[in-house]
Amino acid sequence: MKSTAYLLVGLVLILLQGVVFRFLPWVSGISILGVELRPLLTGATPNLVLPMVVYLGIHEESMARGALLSFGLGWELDVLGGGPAFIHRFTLVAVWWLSKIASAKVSTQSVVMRLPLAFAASLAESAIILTLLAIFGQDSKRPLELSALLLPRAISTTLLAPLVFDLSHRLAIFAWGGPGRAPASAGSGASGTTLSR
Amino acid sequence: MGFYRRYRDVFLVILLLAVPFFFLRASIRNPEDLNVIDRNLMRVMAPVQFLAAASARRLSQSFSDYVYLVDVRRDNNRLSREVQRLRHDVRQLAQLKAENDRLRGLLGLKESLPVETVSAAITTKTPTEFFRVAQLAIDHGGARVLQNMPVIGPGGAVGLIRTVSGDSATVQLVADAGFGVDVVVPRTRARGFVRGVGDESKYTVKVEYVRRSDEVEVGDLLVTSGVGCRFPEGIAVAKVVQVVKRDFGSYQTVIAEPTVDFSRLDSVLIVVGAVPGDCPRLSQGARNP
Repeated sequence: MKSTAYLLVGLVLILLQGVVFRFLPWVSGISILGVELRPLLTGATPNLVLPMVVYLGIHEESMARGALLSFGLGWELDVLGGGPAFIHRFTLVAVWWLSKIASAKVSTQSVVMRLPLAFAASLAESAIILTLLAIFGQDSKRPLELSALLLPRAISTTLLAPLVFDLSHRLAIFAWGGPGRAPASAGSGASGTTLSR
Repeated sequence: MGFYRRYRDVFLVILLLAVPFFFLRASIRNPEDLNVIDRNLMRVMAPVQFLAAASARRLSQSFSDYVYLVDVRRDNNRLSREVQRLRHDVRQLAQLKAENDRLRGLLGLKESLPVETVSAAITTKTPTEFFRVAQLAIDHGGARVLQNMPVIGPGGAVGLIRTVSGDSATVQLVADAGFGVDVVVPRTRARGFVRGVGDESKYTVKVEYVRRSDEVEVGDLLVTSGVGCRFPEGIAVAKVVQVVKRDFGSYQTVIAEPTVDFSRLDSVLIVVGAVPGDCPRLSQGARNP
C-alpha cells in the first residue's frame, strides 16, 4: 500500500515536472530589483522525484524498500522522462544510498538541514548523469553543454523540495494508517522520528 | 536473522545499482532501443502523458489569455492617450503647413517684385456689420514705413498705408472709397482707373475712364500700370465682374472685385523702395492720387 502510494505520487510528480516548463515563462517575465529572471531560469526545470528519494533515504529504515522504491521511481522517470533507459534507475538508487549515508552522518530532522541535502543530492544526481554520459555517450561535448544546467536545476529542485518533503510526510502518515506512527512533523521542519517506529 | 537481512539488503542495493549500470552503455548509445517492458509501459502511459500535457497547455493558455487581456486594457488606455496626442500634433502640423505655404507664397511674391519690400503680419481686421473687412492693422516690426506706401498680398494689391503708429500701421483697402490706382487690362492693354466703392456689404471697385471703344470683358484681370509711381507695374488689383456699354458718352462702366481675399490675409508686403523707372522714393507727406 505504502509503496504503491509512493509510486503513484511519484508518477504524478513526474507528469507535473514534465509540464512545468509551460509555466516558467510566466515567472521568467518577472524582474526582481532590476534583475531579469529569464536568463537565470534557463534549464531550471526541477526534478520533483528527487526530494522524495532523499526523504526515503532519510526516513525509510528498510533498505530493501527504500532501494526498491527509488528504483521504481527511477524506472518511472526513465519511461516518462524520455532520457536513456536505466539512467535514472541507477542515479536515483545511488542518490537514495548517498542520502541514507548522509542522514546517518548529519542531522536531517529539520527543513533547514534537509534543504542543503536536497541541493547536494540534485548536484550529485546531475554529476552522476553527466559522468555516465561522458563515459558511455558518443558525443563528448554534450555533457559539457548540459553542465550549464546543473546549477539552475539544483536550485529549482531545492526550492520545491519543502513541498515534496511535506507531501512525502503526509503520504507516510496516510500509508502507515495514522500520524501516530509517522514522524511528528517531518515535513514542517520540527524534529520527528523515523517511519518505522 | 538480522545478519541475513542486512546482507540481503546490501546485496539488493548492489543489484539495483549493478543491473541498470550493466544495461546503461547500450541504452545511452541507442536510447530508442527500449526493452519490452519499458516499451509497453510507455504505451500505457502515453494517454496519461498526453492528458497531462493538454491540461497544462490549456491552463497555461487560459492564464496567458488573462494576462494578455490585462495588457490589452493597459495598452488600450496608453494608445488612446497616444492617439489624442498624435491628433493634436497632426492639427498643429497642418496649421504649420498652411502657415508655411502662406509664407512661401509671400516669399515668392517678395522675390518676384522689382522693388524693396518689408513683410508685416496682420494683427487686426476691422469688420463691418456685414462681416466685410473694412480696415487692416499690421505689425511691420519697426521698419521704416510711411503713409501711402503700397501694401501687397499673395493675391495682389491690398491697399495703402493709411496711418503709422510705432510698429503698427493701418491699411486702407483697395475696396475703400478713398483708394485709387491706375490699371491696365493685360489682354488688350486697355487702361482705366480703379477706385474703391466703399460698399460695406461687398468688396467692389469701379474702373473709371475706360474708353467706350476699348475691349473689356467680364473676367478680365486688371493689373497696375505703374503710372503714378505708387504700385510697381503688373500687380493684380481686381477682376472684372460687370461691363456696361452705353450708346452715348466717352467711357463705359466697368465693375470689378479685388483679387485679394482680405478675410484670409495673414501677412503682407509693404513696398518701401522706389518703384522702377523715374519714380522718386516715397517720402513723408506724399499724397494718394
